Amino acid sequence: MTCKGQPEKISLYLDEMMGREEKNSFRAHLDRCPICRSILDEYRMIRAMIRDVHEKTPSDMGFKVLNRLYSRRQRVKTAVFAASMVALLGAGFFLGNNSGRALVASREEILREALEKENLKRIPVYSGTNVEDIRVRYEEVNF
Amino acid sequence: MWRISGSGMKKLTFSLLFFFIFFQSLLWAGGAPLEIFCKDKKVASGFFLSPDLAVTTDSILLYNNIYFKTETKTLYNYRIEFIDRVTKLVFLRIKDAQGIPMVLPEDNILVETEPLYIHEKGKRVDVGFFTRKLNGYGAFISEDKSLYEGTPLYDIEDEFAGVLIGNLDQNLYLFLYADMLAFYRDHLNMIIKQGRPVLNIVVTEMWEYSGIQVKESRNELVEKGDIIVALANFQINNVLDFNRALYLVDPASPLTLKVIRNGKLKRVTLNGGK
Repeated sequence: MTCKGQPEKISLYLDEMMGREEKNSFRAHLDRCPICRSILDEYRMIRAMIRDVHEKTPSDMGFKVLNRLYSRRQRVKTAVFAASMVALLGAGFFLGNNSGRALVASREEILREALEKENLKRIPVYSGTNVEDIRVRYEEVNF
Repeated sequence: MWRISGSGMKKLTFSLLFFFIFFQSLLWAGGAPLEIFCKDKKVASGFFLSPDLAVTTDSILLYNNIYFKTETKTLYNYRIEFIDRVTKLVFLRIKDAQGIPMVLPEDNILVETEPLYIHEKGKRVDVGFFTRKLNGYGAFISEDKSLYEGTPLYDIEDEFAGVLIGNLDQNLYLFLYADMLAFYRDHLNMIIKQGRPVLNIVVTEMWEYSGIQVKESRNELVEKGDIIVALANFQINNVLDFNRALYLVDPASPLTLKVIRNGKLKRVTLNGGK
């Protein structure tokens, strides 16, 4: 007995990939060769196990899991996109509303300072070029 | 599910920003600004109450040959419709102005320290903050030394808050509330046609108290020192109230005043006189 096992041929045989003559010839060899028979039995057992596993887990389960993972990834992407849009619009709104000069000091500080200044001597009439000092107007109003 | 490429994302971002800026500009309270010039120098601001009726302050009467600039036009032909020396307001009918009238809110309650804004070159500029209501006026604090009389002021929600009329003290400025502007807008024809009674008295504002005090009188029924607290059915807290009430009474009919004289409330009936 010189055969050390022919696993390639066994695979072809199991997969029904052999022609009729080749198949008959290999069957004759299997009758004679215990090594190839044992390999064939082993392959059949492995296949049976795989089939068993496949029967217990539906074939589309893997797809569903992948699909779910994909959907989740898409949802995250969509959420990130939506959040970016909200942040962008918010930034636009904020910048639009606050463009221009900003007071550095807090309002409370300015108010306190302004109230302190009110106790100081009043500035003269027509102090500014653009805005009239109008207090004197209401000291004498003709009706 | 649609996908956005890199360049598509950029386009979308710019489109959204553009849309947002455009939308914000639409949300402004209308009232395209009016600038008043004399010899290429800006002398005052104003705004439109109707497409051809503008309002500013009487400081423009100091200048000759004034002209007006809106966002799109320069206008030269105008006539003075009415001057109210008490409020300082001057109403102008400007030919071919086609201005966008200011939206005047019916009730605009400002909160202490609420920021106030002006519109300058298409931008909203923070100019100070509201402090309190003062004898019918709004008072606000500003460190901006380039404010012009007649400038419309806007609140934090970009609604019209009032028109700047002058400086009261240091950084304290006064503005007239929207309701006063609405009053003139709605009654201007009647005011021009009817006028108001002439009482021959000089009054002074009592800044700390309600009512107005008679400073001089050439009216035999009103005495110097009287504090006027009511006119007809109108309560008088300040000069603005008195001014407005006088426009609303019939100048030809007898007029009832309630005055505090020597610590006692007294009713005085004056004969009408235009």
